[in-house]
Amino acid sequence: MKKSGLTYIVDDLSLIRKNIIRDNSVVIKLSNPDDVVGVFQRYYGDYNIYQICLDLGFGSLSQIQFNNDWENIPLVIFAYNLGDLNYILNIVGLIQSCKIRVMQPASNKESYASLKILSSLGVDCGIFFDQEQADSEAFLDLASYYYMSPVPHASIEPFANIKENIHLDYNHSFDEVYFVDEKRFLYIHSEKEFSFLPQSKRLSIYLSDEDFEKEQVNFKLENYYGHFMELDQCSKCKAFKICNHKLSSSFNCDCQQTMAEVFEYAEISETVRR
Amino acid sequence: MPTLIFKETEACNSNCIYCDVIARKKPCTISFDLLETVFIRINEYLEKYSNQNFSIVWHGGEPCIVGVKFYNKVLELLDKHCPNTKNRISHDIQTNLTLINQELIDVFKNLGMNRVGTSYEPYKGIRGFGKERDSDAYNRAFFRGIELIEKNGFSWGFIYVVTRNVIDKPLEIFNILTNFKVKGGFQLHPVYSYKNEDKNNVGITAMEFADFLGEIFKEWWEHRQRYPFVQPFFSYMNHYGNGGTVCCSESGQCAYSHIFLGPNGEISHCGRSSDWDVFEVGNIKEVSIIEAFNHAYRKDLEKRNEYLLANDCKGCEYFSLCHGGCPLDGWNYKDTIFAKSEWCAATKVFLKKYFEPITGLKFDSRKYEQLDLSK
Amino acid sequence: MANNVNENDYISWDNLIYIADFLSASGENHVSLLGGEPLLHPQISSIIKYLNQRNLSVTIFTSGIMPIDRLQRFVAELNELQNLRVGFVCNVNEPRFSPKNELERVEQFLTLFANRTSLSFNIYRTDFEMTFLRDYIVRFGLDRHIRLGLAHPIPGKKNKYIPTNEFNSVKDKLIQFFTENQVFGIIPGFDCGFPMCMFSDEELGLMFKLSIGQLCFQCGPAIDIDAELNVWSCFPLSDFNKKSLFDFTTYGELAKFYLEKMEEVRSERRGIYPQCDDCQHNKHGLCSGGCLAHILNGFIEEGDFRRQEK
Repeated sequence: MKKSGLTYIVDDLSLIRKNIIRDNSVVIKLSNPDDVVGVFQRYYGDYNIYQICLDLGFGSLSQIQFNNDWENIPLVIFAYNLGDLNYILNIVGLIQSCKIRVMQPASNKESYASLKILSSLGVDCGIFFDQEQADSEAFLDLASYYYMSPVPHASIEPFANIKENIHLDYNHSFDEVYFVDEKRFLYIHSEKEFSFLPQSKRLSIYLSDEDFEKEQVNFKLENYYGHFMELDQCSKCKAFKICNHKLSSSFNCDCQQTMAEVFEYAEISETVRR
Repeated sequence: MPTLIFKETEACNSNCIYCDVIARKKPCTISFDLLETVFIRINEYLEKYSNQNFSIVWHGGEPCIVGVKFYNKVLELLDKHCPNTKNRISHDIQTNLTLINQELIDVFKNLGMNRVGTSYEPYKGIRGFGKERDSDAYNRAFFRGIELIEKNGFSWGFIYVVTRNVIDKPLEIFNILTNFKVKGGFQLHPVYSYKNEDKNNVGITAMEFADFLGEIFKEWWEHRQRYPFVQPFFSYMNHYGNGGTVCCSESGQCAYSHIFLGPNGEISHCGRSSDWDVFEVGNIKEVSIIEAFNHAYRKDLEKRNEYLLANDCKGCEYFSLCHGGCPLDGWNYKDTIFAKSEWCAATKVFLKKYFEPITGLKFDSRKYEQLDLSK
Repeated sequence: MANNVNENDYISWDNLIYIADFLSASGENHVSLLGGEPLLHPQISSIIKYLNQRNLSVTIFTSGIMPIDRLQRFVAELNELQNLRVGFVCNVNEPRFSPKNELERVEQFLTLFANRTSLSFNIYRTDFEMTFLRDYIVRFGLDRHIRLGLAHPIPGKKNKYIPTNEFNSVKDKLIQFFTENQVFGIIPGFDCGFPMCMFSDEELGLMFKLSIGQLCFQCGPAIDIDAELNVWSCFPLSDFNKKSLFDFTTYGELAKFYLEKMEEVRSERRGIYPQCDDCQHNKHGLCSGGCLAHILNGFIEEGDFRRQEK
């Protein structure tokens, strides 16, 4: 299988030592904050660590005991909320000096103000979509804040990704923010198996380069071109270019209108920047 | 630079509801002997006109159906018969992409190609494989083709043929097409039918096409930065700004710019003239390309502008933009090239009812060359 | 007042961030927090830290009356960070008019925040006494500055205020207090609304020296922003041309708007006294002729359009 240019996502540390990782970069998924520094220090020299992904589930950002050891770790933290805001504000200087992005769930109403707080304080952050539906008004308000605020602030994903790629002459999915892109990310399940999504069809690590490319095309045929095959609502949506069906069931109301507005904001913002 | 529309084969793997080729001609492919004659003639032409270049548009049918061996033969013949002129020959291709593969792409690259023209139809039942027009299988192959050419760094654009099946959903079509090809890079074209033959009831009127374009134009104008390259809007914007033609059918200057060659060596003016058996010049075996460019019919084409200005198009403010449309449409309409196209109405209505009021622009014919009517 | 507070009375983080962005975009580096009672906000320490992180120093106008447990938690939270840029202006009432438990709480507050606190005193009755202010300053080691406010009418409302014909008696008491307490180095700070002519030239000279040259009789917008991002020019004029913060792009634009509105009123009447119309000091901008609220109050008979924008 093609060896270079890919990022492998693992949550089993034993897989990191396998040779398949060697020539590629790796995202290590952890759930315990206490493991972050140790894992990074252990593997940093020998492997190209793209990111450490710390998923706290329903945990709060404030449960993490940040310290100076976290400074050089490329880290994305999925947290349910900020938790003790007072504590976060006490250590925000330390967080600012780290390479951290804090992700919060779109379904949690608290997330939107929290993300504005973080972004306005220079901490990269973002929103992620889980099984619950998000409030589209709050989402649009956050988008408006990101794109229209007159003062500098840190990036909020996926808005930053959308804006960066808005002038491409092909459809680009912001899903890469969440490590989903069949051209870049592979989920490694075992020594022998991988998939393009955590839950999608498992494929053999030992595929030839040609077969691997075919699988990439098959994946795209199903997940992207499939909309044009079915001529579903997504294929006819004005905001397909920035959404690519990622958010079709994510909002409590019409996603098309919501994402069409996000598209407008992003365009205006990028046009003003140019 | 003259353009050779080279239909090296009538064979095609697709069954498009509006296609004249499938409807009218038997599939056949040019023989290698005749192919050799073609390149001898091309070289002849380029040696005589040493300041000119030559463009070949590989067409069909489906040009990929002939396989990589055919195009390797083309390369061989270029080396053999055009050793000093092949650098002045450029190659383009119009293909449905369903048969493209890496080998073909490699030989296309050797011919200097880096782009592909194609067409796309999202709705089922309008084009597909076989009698039943299996659109799913067709589109799957088409999408794979797109992925392959993009992987190889080829750019591509497509034509969208507007039929009766979609005339009532202009915005839906527009959204689908711009979602498919993000910045535009496609042309909206009405379906043409020969002498009003329309067995499948796909034809549309000029008015219908004008309104179809108009509805889309309103949306396009609001977001023209988003999808700049949607034709004919992009060209009209250029027209109104800088002058210049929209496409060959409205240029009024195709008399000496195009030549057609079919798989049996038959020479005509362009793809449609061949499909409709108009402008039969002869066979490449007996008639050289130089002679074909000097055929008498071209003088008639040359005179058409002057004639129309004094007759069908007298007083029309948009003449210098559309020149009475394609001569073949005039012939299709009234059996003579000295008639304006029935599609002129579409142009006029679109510009008057939609384009000018929405953009605030007014057509200024002074931006165009003055016709010297004394010639 | 605390028992009547509900969540809607507190500024939201969204609105606070908007205000911080607004001030930052305007080049401002300071914000004052008022109320109600700002220390009742359950996240007040976070708000202070957040605003500091946004390069905004904070002044909190407080009554100092807080339950002890909340006060202790507040102190602990503030002490978690060094170099916090926050100061308090504690508005105090005369002890003779204050319940004992309130006095105790104020004293606790002054004890804990002495090094960050100055006093404020609002004069709303003519029989006021100020000695307690000196006592607080000396006893708790407070900042020597006293902000003095004259209670003005809120046009259209019935509130206690000092009528203009009583200004002289107020002035006499002020002069007496500051003269007697010069030795303590107490610095008077006059809030807006005092007309210059209430002082004699000699008294002006004394006040100028005591205030270390910070004597000002000009009136201008002291913009208030509420929790819902409504804005007005100052507290007495809270119903006068109330707008939304969203109507403005910068603080400068906002201040200019209200300055122009004030000028419109003053173009009709220069000040609170008839002689203000011919006053040279008013013409030269040295004195604004007292608080606009008195002037608007005088228009009250003439209908609402005086106070509201059409």
